Amino acid sequence: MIRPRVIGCLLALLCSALGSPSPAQRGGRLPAQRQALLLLKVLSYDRKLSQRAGGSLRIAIVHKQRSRPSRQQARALLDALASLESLTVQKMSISAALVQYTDVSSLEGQLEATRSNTIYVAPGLDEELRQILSLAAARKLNVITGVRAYVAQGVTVGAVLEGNRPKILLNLKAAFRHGNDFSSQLFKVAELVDEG
Amino acid sequence: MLLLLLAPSPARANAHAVEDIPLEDLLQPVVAASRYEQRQQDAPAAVSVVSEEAIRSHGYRSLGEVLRSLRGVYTVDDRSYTYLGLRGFGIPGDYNTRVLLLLDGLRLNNNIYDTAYMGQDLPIDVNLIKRVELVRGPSSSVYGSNAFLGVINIVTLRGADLRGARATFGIGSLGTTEGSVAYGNLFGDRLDVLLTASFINSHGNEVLNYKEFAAPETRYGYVRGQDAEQVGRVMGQVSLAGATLRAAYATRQKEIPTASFGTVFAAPQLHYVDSHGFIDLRYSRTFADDLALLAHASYNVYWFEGDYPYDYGEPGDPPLLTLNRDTALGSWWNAHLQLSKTFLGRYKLLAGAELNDSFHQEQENFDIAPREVYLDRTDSTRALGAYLQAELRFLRRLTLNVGLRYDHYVGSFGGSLSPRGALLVQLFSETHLKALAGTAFRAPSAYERFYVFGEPGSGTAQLFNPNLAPERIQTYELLLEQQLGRSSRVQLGGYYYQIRDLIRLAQNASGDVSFQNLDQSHALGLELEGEVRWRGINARASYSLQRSWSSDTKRDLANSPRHLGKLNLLVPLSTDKLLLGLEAQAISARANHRGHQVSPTLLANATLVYQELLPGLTVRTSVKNLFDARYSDPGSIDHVQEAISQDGRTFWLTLSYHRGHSGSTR
Repeated sequence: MIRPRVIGCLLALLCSALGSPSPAQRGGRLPAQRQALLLLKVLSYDRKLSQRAGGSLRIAIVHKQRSRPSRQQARALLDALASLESLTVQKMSISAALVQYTDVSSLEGQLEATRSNTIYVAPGLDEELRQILSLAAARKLNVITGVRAYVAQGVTVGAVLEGNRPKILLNLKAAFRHGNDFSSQLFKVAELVDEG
Repeated sequence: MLLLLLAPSPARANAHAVEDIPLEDLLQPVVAASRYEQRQQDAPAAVSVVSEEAIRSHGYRSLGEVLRSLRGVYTVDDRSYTYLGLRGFGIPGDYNTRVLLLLDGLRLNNNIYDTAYMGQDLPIDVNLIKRVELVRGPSSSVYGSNAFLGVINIVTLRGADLRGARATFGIGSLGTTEGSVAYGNLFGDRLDVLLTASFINSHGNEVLNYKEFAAPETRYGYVRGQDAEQVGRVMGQVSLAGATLRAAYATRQKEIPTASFGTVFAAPQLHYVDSHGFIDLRYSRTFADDLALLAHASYNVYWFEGDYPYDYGEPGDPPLLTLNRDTALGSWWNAHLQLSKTFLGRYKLLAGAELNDSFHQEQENFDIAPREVYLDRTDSTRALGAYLQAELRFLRRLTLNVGLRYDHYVGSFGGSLSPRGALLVQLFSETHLKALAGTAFRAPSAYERFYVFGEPGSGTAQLFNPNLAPERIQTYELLLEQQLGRSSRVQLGGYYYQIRDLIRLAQNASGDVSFQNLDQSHALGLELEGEVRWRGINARASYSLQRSWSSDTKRDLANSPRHLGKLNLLVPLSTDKLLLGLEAQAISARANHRGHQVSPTLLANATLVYQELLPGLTVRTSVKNLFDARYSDPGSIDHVQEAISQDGRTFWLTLSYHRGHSGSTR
């Protein structure tokens, strides 16, 4: 009698899970550790990275404090980047800081204070994305994310989960705007995303 | 060494560059070692991966061919099935029960013989394989039974990999034609669909000769037109929002020319039919706080039919030909739930539970006319398992991976505990050491416990043994990996295995046989592998020195070569569209089950791939056994033959036409 009961419970769990796909699931989120490593790897293909970054890759993890998924993802990515502190990208050290988004001027101030040259856009910033990207383009910052939809809206690089597999997303128009110069080797493995 | 590891280091003293991590490692991580994705160097086992590019570029036609390109792996083909040997363990005729075969994580070993399919009996067309992972050593700590000598995980293509339609047609030696059609696509970034069907039709060798039957009454050992093989496979898969529903069915019929199991030589009726189907529903979801859920439920069915022509006449009397038939029908449910979570970016916990309900294990053996039933029974087995694993990173350079699984077989073997531990140390920026220890078990199959054939006491019968207990293995392994620049690496490893209660066929006083928990066996080995990537050339070479022996008989185990050598080369030619795949495989002499030596083998294969010869068209031509070496694989206890002769040089031509955008190698 164990079989029907266990299978019933599993199916119920499946049904409940299937019935409520989260925004994270719709975006196909890669676990933070893998996401961090993949994004750093992609940045290493940027031929102008070290020239623009000036000695150290400083990542601002921009998130919305009021959004729980945004907060959790930002924290998870910070932990992941901290665990990768022994890595270098184009001989540059890596550091990261949490940056809460409240408005664009506050963001500008925090980017200044942390001397960030790269922005990671956490989920939950759908409405604020345009302002973040405008600021990033003006300051020629790298912009990376783990949300597929954000790449189509102008983020340069995404690392997402497609099915059960990691996928690199690349927005070439955004790369041009933000001053990235990616090696064509990357194009063989990345999915090139058009801006919607 | 511990002091060295614990000593605080300057900030960048042990830094390593992200550029040194191959992108493929990040995009194609290993899943099979821990039931979640991780880099090869983080896996608590010695892992090898064969990519889709290597599979296509070497013209591999079966899973066995893919695997035997790897260090420590060899195969035996007895013209019925392909058997895998791993690190010196490869008991001929064991149906590969000591390896766990997974298809995207779904257990494929059937519930009658526990077979891991290595030949064309695999339910999936090799053209659908995206990569193959081989995890050496025990993994019962996460998988339970069968993950004994290793785990093989086949990762398949998805619709998004095809993004269009693909038709493949091939012809080859031995009167072989084969073809497949596949359509796959990703709709609206969420709905992934893959549909495929394939066939193989091979006449096989027109004439084979076995010197053990070189008598006038057995046609001087010649058997004609009895090596044919037909295969048909279909599969459909739909993925939406983290959920994947997949159904597949495959059937394979093989004529057997070897007169195995004491059947009448060259009688045309000897053949096997194996069919396997499944429906699999999987759901995976990663939550914002790095909590990952995987749920999985599958229904599987396996069917076997084998016809065996026997001469029941007394010696000197006229032949009394009777057709004996084996049938087996197995059905089982599998349900699996797993949660994993990463804490602080460096501690990962995994917990899971699994139910394997083999609710139908039917075996029959009977003479067709006059009908005489020797075996007609239906059994069931139910196993519950729960496991925990922790991957803990300390001091930047130390990772401890510990896992434990408890399996309970309701009403039969009781409980079994399987621990595994791994200490992964980054000695220097490009030097990694793995120290591994683990245990595993294999529960006896329904066939081994309950199969019966013939009259007990006749000296030719096989008897059942319901008291058969699980066999167990304990292993210790060290693996050192040195990265040499960005494009080369060397691995050196050593291992020691100890197996208790090994399940083998043994004779009793009257000459009848039954499966019994026999002896204690050991394996000891050294492995060396190097890989170089240079200007598009990819070269991998390995050498294995291994010995497996029984502590009771003090003799080497059957089919256990001392030396294995492998060389694989992928060379882009004048244009990047033309690729040459070369491989060489050397196997030293090995004993058969009677202790007689089978000669060493050196094989070479070559494949030329011309991609985009015309838009969408890829042409592949292969020559297998390039130098037409005459070689044999050891026969098993089921054969009169000391060794089973293998095919000489064969030629294969495959045309593949793809219409649509593809992110995958064709």
